[in-house]
Amino acid sequence: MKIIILGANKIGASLAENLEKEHNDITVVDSDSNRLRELKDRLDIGTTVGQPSFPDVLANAGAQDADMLIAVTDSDETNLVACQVAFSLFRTPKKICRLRANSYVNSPKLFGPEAIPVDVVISPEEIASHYIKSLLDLPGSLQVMDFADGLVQLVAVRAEDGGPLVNQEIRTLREHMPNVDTRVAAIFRRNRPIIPQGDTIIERDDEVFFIAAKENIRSVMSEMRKVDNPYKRIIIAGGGNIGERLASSIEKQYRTKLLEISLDRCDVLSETLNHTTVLHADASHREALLEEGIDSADVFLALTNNDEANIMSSLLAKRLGASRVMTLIANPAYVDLVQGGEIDIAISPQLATIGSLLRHIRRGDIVNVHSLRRGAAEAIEVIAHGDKSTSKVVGKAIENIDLPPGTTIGAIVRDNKVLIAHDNVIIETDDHVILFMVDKRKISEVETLFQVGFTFF
Amino acid sequence: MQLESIISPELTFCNIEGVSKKRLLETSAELIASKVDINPDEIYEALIAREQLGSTGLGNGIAIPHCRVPKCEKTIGCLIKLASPIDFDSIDQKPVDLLFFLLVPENTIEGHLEVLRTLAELFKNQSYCDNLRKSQNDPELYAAAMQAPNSNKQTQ
Repeated sequence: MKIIILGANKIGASLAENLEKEHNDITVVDSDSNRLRELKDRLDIGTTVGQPSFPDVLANAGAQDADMLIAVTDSDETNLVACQVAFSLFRTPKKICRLRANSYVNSPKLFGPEAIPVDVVISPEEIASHYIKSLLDLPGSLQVMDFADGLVQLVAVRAEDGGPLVNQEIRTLREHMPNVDTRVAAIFRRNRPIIPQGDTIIERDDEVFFIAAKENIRSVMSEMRKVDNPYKRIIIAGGGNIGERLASSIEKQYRTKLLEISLDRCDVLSETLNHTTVLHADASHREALLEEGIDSADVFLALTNNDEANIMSSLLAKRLGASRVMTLIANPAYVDLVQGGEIDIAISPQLATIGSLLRHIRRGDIVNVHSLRRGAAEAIEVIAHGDKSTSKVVGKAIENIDLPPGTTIGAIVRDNKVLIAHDNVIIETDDHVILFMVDKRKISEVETLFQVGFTFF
Repeated sequence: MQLESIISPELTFCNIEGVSKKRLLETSAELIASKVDINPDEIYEALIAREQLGSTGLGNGIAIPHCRVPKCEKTIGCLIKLASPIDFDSIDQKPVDLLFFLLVPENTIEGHLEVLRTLAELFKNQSYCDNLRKSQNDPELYAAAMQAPNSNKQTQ
């Protein structure tokens, strides 16, 4: 696919990197030629220097032949105008626009073929804060992913002593919980994937990915580890875009304190956040953290835009007694370094955003893509189209579907009902099928499997 | 099925510049729209949406893009030979240079499947495709297209 990315900033660069790996033809546009050169040195991409919303610049970048435009510059207005130009002058089939200002994001009527022709609006800040909120709402989880509008969730959890299923075969789950249906999609043991069978034994420290209807998630989780009490006290360091959004979405549910280093920003935040205690303080100061009760905090979240500052304040908070620390980290190399040590969860806003973009790049009718394990694995929700003659999956029992190795079907959503994928379930037209791939390089085989045959009209 | 019913001289185009899959779908939507009373954007969008579900590239340089179009009243066929082959995301990953576009009314049910199968069968014939590829202009292309090998008619 030919894709034009506008903006060689952090998000644009990480997009280019991820999409290039999947053999797309990428051109990145930015007005800063130094940024482009740096990117071009390490990636096999094309670059165009210029104001990204100008018609001649877009034409030079190959807009006439591009299948997709992804506008992720730091300016909302540039992104919006670029989408308009792409639509009016180049009939670009898919236009994705990054927006930061809530005022735009909250006006959905603005977007569409008769208004501003944006096909997809993405807000990385919104995605990151939603991602963090779901981790807070499910204590003990490492990652929580929604499918079928939240009817089904895929949850990653570390197995610990005290979970009834630990040291047991997976099949005993049925005896423990006869009324709850779930499927263990994959297990990562010392970073190696295991495709679970009924007789696989769950060990302590295994990272278990399971899928279940949302209402059953907590019961299944209680099988893997002692039940964590719901969180009550949250301390956030950093009142930027993500910190603010997160605080406003959780402040009614949790006792939330927000530490912000800039006094001016504190003034703004105390206006917009009604239930959060906004404090003018530096999260890297031991005294400041102690004063705000870090030792009794259930979760400390470091959400500034500085990775190093986030890592250091998280280590400090943990040392001073915070039960769990979660850290926002933009540099992917750091994510691997810190996760699983003293930092409980490293959150990469880019990785979270990539998933929602990949959805539009994949072939077939894919509704959701979640990147897992720092992008190595992937979970997708795809709609099965066609019938017995045009589809390779419709009309077949799950056990007879020729899935690539390392791929499991976890669940199916049919008419808003969740069916956990057992061998004898037969796929029907329009089913939403949720698949888990331990190795995302298998994605093209999965895409082919779900593509309709040639005779589909 | 009679070939005359879906191939016409005014919708046969030789040596079109394809450039890219996206641009070709755009160009062909305009070519078709110029001969029939349908908005080119509607054709373009329907073609793009169908390709998203799976490429209509059959392999060996052949593609049969097809879709339902709301204001279409009868089946419309359009034969295009490209000046040079382009990537079309085909099954065999080979570039495409011969395309047969098929537009059918929104609510047709079965009939068009037979047309589609006949066309797929027809384009499997190597000498038929060779003749199409040798054509230098629109009339030659149309004439070559009408020379359907007999064996295919019988298999249908």
